Amino acid sequence: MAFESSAFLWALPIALVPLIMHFYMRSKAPSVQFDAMMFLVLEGGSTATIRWTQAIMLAVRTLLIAVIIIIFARPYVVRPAVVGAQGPVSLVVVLDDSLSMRLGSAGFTPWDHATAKAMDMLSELNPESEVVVVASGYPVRSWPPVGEVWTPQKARRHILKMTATMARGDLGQATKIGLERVRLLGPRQRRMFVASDFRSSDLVGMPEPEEFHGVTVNSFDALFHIVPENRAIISAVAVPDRTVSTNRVKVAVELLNGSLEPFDDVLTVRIGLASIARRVECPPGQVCAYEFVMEANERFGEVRIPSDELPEDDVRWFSARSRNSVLIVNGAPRRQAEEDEEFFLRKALQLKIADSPVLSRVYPDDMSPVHLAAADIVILANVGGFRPAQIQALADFVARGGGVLISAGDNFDKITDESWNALLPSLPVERLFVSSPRYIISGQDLEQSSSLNMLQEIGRLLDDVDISWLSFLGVGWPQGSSVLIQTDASLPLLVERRIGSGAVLLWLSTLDRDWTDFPLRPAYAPFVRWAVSHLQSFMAALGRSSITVNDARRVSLTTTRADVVTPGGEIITFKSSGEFTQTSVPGVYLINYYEGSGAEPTGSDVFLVNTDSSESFLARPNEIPFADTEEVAPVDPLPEKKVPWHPWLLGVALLLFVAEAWLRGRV
Amino acid sequence: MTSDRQWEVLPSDAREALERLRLRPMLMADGRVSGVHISSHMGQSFEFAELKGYAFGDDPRGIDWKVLARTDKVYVRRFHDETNMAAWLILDASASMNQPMPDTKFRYGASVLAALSYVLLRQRDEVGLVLAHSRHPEICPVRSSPSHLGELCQMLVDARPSGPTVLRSSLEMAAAGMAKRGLVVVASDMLTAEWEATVGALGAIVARGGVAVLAHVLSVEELTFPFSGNLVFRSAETGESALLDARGLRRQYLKAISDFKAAVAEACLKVGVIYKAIDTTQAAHNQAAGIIHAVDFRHFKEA
Repeated sequence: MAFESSAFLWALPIALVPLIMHFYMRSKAPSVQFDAMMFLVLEGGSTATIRWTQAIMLAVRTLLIAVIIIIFARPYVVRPAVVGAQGPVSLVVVLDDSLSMRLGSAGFTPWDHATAKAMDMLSELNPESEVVVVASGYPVRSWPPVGEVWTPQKARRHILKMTATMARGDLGQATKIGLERVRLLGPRQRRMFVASDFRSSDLVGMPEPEEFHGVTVNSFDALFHIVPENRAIISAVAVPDRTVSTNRVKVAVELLNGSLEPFDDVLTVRIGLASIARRVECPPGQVCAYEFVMEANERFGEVRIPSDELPEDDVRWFSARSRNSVLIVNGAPRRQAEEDEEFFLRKALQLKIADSPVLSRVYPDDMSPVHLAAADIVILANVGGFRPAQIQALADFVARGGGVLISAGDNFDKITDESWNALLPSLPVERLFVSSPRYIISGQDLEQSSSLNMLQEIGRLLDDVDISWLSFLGVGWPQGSSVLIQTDASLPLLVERRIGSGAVLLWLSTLDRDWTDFPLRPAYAPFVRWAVSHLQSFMAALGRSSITVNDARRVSLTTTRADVVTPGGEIITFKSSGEFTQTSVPGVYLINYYEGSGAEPTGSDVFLVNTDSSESFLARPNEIPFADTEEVAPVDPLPEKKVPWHPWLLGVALLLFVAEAWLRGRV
Repeated sequence: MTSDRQWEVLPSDAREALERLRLRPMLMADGRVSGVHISSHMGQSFEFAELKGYAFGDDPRGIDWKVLARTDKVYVRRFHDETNMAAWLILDASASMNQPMPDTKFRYGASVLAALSYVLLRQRDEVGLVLAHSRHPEICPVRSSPSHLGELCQMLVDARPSGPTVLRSSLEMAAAGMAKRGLVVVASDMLTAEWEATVGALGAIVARGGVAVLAHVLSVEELTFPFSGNLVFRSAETGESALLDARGLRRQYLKAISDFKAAVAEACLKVGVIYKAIDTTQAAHNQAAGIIHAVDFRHFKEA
């Protein structure tokens, strides 16, 4: 402690005045014999109490005077050298909170080391420094919002609350954001602290060295104390088994042995109740592939190995649906099978190839949401007599990503019910006769070029097809409707209408031999299979298969509400379509759709969230890219900061004053 | 042995003023000689006691002729005898009574008790004196001779207050020596933690048929606390001392002493002891007269 006006300290002996006065007055004070002293002391007190109280009061008075004198001397302290030796800086702390930072070793993780280092560094910072924190786990986040800054103390409190995520890392993007933020801060020395495990995959997209100009970078290798060993399931895919015709799948698994020891342990694959546990071997530093053939009695499965230091990537979930399920709604069954559309559709779809869909058939009156829940694609073959509820259920089915192929015919022509507008671009108005038209492929709106290419191939084959009758739709098509194939007379032949996440394909002629010889031509089977494949692609685009941690999953809502059940059992309710972003935990997420206030779901869906396999590879470059550059830009020392003490001492004096007044009342 | 100093506690003007006073506590005295108080025995006096059916041997002079005329029955009128009374005067001779100098509370109390003894001896009552200043108090036994007054006054003049207040034990000793019903007067400042026990001992005397009076002697200083500034207060009895700000404590002290007086008076009232606060600014014989009036007033109220 030092004093700005130390001359006042010479007055400190004045503090002894109360003491001197007391003893002087005691010696000089007249003495009175007075035996009613019992009434002079307080209740329960005695002269001994009085003497103690007087002693304390004397001490308080002495202190009070001493404190007042010291206040006049204006005391101050100089900040300790650790904090005060450097001036305030603008600092961005980039912390890698991706999955690989959770690698455990002796009870500590790279995240623990990284945050401890960051906390140490922040504690040594000048308290007036400006700090921004950036986390590189996907999606990259930064605190506080742009335009605001934190003190080192607040940044420390924030970092204390952070944990490593299970998402992939994007250190390159985080560093770029950190550079942008540090350049927005005040005109002080600009510094960046990067703490990461610096795996090779983290360094993709790093800013070029010249981009760091003017910024002092300090790095901390959080994996420095830890042996980077990890074993993980990096891939698990179920494909239809080509060797058998039953509902079996072949599960292809890739195991990464990133340790120094050979892997010789049990690998377990499970789909519903069926499971296979097999002892497998994998040399160190290798990726080994295994195949398991098993019954696909559930929509998803999981692959697991015994947990190691990074247990999150030792399990992986996969979609286990072997083939598409196609429901044929036969609107006009015939006695002669070869005259029926179902006959031709079955012939086209059940070719002896691996990805043939599973077919089922139902008649229009019997079709219910139960049938739709089990189907991926619905083919309405010359259907005209649906009830409005059935039409609405179909529309909901499409909106959730399902596909519907509708073919025209006698029954279709009779449709007049307005409720069909939920599915069709417009109701059929008349049947037109055409004579050997030529066909023009106009499906430029198709999102996947492969689908368009296939359609153009099919279009070339259509030239042999002789279509006599076409059903003609009314005008006023809603948005999302487009013509994929039309005749040279501009009559629509194949129309697509997008509804929600799915689509409806409308073939405006028959798929049997009533209005055309199409079923007898080579283009028929490829066309039907293309249509099914095209419709199925909408459902695939929804991500029924796996997404990675923190990816968003769209929940398309056509019912009243939908509940997303997370692996942890948490339920998030959607009352309108939207993005589900709470996918921070790997596992199976279930979507239940509800109608009205019903407690039973009218449909369900699942999606799988897995860790990003790149996080399982702990390989590192030979040299950490961020060399400490502190020597290049030395820190400007600031003058020592004086912290005045007199405001505190004023408070002490006030307290002493109150204490003296209280004691005076006691004596 | 007596000297002229004995009259310091009872000067001649005080004696003149007290000459015509009589103390009549109206208790059934058990005196040995004839006096002014009603005796517990029947005898010749003007104090009517009862009517009694005539029996052989009764003095026919006592027959109530008027009753005989009205009722045709013979009754004899009976009267109380008149006798003298024993009175014990107890003076607190503790150190606390020795202030303020030179007119101390002890001196004032001695004058009051001397005045009382003068009145009592003049009506041929027996008077004893106890100076309570230790476990073994000085006692002057009861006598009724006129010359006893000189002894009492001499004893009061010669006494030197000292030591702690031991009124209770003194009272118990006096009560034990007082075989007959009589009067007990205590003059004390009651500045002791045992004041309640003292009042209780006086109450026991009242319960036995006697009359007890507490003359509460407090000095003007103790009642008004005229001090100011920082003073060292010393207690002669306990030896305690403290440097205190008298002005700051005055209000608190006055309330405490007032409460104390009220508490003593209330305790006396509860047990039938006559409480008399002594005003030391007045002449001592006037305060003695006040005690006599208080006793008479008490008798008047009871009657």
